[in-house]
Amino acid sequence: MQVPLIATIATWLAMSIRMSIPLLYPSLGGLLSQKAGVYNFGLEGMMLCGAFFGYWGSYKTGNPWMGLLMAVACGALLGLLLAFTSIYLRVSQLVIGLGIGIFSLGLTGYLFRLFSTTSTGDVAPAAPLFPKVNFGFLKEIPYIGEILFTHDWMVYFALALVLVIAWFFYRTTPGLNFRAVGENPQVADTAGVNVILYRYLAVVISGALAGMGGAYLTVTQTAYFTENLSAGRGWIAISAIILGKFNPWGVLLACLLFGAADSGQMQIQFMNLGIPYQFLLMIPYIMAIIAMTGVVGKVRSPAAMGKPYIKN
Amino acid sequence: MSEITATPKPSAPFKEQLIQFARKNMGLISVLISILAILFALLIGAILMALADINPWEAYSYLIKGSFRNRYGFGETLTRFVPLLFSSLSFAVAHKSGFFNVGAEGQLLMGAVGAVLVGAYIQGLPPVVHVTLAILAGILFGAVWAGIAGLLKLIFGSNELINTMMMNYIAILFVEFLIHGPLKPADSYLYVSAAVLPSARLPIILSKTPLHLGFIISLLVVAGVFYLMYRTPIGYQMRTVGANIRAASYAGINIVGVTIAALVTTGGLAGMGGAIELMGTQFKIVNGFSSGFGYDGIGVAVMGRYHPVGIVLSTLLFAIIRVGTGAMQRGAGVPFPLLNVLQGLIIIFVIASGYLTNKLTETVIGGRA
Amino acid sequence: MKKLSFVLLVALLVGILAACAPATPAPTEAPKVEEPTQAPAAAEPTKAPEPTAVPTEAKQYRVALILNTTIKDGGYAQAAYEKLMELKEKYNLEVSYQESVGDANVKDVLRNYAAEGYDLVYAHELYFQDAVNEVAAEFPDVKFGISGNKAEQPNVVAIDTTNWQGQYLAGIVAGMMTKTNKVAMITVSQSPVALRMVNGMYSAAKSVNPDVEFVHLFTGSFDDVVKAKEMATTAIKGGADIVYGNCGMGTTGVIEAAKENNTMAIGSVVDRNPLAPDLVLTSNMNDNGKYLEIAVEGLINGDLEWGKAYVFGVKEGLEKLAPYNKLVTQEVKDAVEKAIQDFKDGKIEPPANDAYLWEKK
Repeated sequence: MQVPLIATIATWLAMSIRMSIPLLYPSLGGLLSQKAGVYNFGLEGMMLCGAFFGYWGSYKTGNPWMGLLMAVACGALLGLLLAFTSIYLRVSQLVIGLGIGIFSLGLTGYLFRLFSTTSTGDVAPAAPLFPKVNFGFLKEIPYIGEILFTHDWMVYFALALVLVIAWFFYRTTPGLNFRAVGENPQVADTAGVNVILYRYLAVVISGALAGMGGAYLTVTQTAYFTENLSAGRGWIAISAIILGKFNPWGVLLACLLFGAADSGQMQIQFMNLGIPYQFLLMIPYIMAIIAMTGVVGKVRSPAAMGKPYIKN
Repeated sequence: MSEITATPKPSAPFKEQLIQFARKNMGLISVLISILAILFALLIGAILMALADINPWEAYSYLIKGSFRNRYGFGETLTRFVPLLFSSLSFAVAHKSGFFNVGAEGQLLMGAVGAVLVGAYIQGLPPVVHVTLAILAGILFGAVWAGIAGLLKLIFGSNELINTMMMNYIAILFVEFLIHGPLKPADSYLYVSAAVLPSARLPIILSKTPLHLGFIISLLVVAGVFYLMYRTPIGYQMRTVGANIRAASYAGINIVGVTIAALVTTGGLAGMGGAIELMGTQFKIVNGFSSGFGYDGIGVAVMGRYHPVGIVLSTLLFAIIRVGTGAMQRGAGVPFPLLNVLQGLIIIFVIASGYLTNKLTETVIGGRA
Repeated sequence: MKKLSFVLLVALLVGILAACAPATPAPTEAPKVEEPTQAPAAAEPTKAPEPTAVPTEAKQYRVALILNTTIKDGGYAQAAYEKLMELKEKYNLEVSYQESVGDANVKDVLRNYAAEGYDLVYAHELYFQDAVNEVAAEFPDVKFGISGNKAEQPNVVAIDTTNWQGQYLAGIVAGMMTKTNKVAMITVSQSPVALRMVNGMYSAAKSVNPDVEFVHLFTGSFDDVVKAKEMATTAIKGGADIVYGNCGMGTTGVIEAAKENNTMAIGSVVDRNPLAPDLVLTSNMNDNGKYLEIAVEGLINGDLEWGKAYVFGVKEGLEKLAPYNKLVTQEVKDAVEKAIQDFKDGKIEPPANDAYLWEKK
């Protein structure tokens, strides 16, 4: 049975969207935090905690909404830890992020062992998932239907979030303040903006979004949790922020690109073209480096990023 | 921890004495604060273990025994020490020169690639020459890999933290490609590189342990880096650029030249670490060759407050933890994830305790340490 | 300040040296010295005094297990860990294990166990076989086991399954059951082991269905369930109507993809039918825990030949198919029975492991 090329492309695009969403949530989170001047290197750990608590909450209550809620709460809590250490204690944001990563890997692995006592061959307890949104006849449109109308609500929510965040940053006063806090906290402070509060809020929301990204994996994609389920997606999200030039729309495109490269790699394997897959997977990283050079438009990170703010 | 913050409280002359004491012993005090933070993390870990029906005393006794019960554990600890030391030195030199080099992981891998090319494919060299050449190849590969990120910063002003991070992923994928094809011996059943020849392996310096010559080399390198950074004009210039690039430029320092020197040093150190790990312990590259040495190096350097002595101490701590947690699994049956929790807590608490040290330094010295 | 730190460092190093100096001659780390805590039987472990009796009183054996992934990986490592716990009860063993051991420190873990006087140190990971053989040479009195195919020392035993005979049986099912004549296999890598699995399954399917086509996809990860699921979806959208998953935890994802697209699937390692009873035709089961059991019982009963690589397959019952689901017809079952008989008669040759059979001329 030969599948026409256009159908393969449709499958690939639909898959690219699915693979990019677990990057998009933490990327948007990281974007918020970086816009306010704080690096969030804890995204991976926050995602992993989100993935576990999403699974656990969904299983325990039989309701994926509860799982999602727990994931968001847990991500926010880790965000608060990062905010406290980097804003109040003013210690290395990078290393605390690494610490949160190891801590979360251990914590989720340990809780999972306490929770799941099944032995080899038994079916691990499956948590209920969110159903796909039923678009009725729209789904039947050839190709377009598969690409756009076969997803669950969290996909569309993530896209809406991009819109909201873009609107917030560039069209509202708090959004402007937000950016000012990351660009020039002294000036923002003089203008009466509560720099510390904004930064706390940014990092906590950032954690919540990362937790949501982790939960996406376990409340929509797979009904099971495994140790290290997030498999480095939180780190790739950081790359996506840069590749997206610190702009919500750019971040969306960057995540789509990462998703497309990963699923394209699968298609190329499937078509057996004989290109070493490692090179394909390198493309987004190389593109991020090129994006940073400014050859295709300058990337400028918020001026005060990574620098703790000390009120004079 | 609270005793230390509370010290400058009593009456004036006594307070003055205390400040005098603190000023003289800041190094000691910062080590003590870190130790207290570790104890605090261990205490939380103990509670978690107790909840898991594990005797914390027994478990922690293995943490120590892993490194100090016998000769082998001691040698093992110092063997782990070596690659960690190189990657943390790499991060520290970069930091002192005004860089964020989080790319030690990639540079270390590329260094190992350089060493494997020389160590496995060039035949018939006397050991001394072969080892030297292989290490130089490692330094070269690491320096070039870091140099790419550095040149991008110099030419385009792009953020080197992100670039070195991207270069890590590229290096990991590139090495994966190499061991799937070009570097894989034809008869190999597994994805591995060719093994370095016996003439390019580092000799064992403590019999019945894995401790190899790389340990001595690493100590010499610490001394060398210390000398370079604090006793030579170029080191002074690197630190000046790192502290305040504008002032350095007013002072007539050749920023480009100094930056390149800093890059070569930071990448070369990481690459050398990879080469020595390859030639001293593993002999061939497999997936997971590094086991996170590059990332741990960042934590080590920050905990060691970028000071050579501090770095040696914190590297030792990390090596003891790496070896000790293995012993805790084997001896006391502590579940592996719980050990990750413990390590995460130690990192978070020690780094957070840096706040106290900073605060105290500000109080007693009235500015920078 | 610098001076003081230096003094402190020196003091610490001296302290460390002092602390370990008295421990140096401890008997635990001298490989050639017989363990004082052990019964005299330790001198000749290959010949236990009474091979048939359960030797609980004679000697408590100490067995160590080294794993590359975690004891909760749902397959390979977990099977060995559970077997270890089972054997502990059965033979009153003293056991220990270390999980998530990487290539960087596996030799140290092996040496630590050997030096601590374990009777059997078993590494349950193919990639550890060079390390096991290297360390075994240093500890001639300790027995080592490896789940692999290399036993170069007289005190090492290598145990593995063929890793293709089970797939061969599954291939017969796949070849006869596919309607689109397209079958997809999803594994972790493209290693020679994986290639032989693929070729085994392919040659079997080809033998019963000359029109069958195969595709092979690999995830590059043992635990990325989401990626494995997407890969299986790619294959299903590309026309495959049977997906076979053998990619660690990812196998679950493969079956989830089949469930979502209402496509048939074949599982691996353990019986995956309960994940989707209507769709999972069968699973090729590999009894990975059995390797450890063979090594431990061989140690206790003294009936295992050390220095030898054992390979087990369908004939010995270490590779077999799980119970079929209701879709599988009697005709298919008979064809599988015939293949099992052929294996017992030694009629089927191992397939190539260097390239895909369908690419070979």
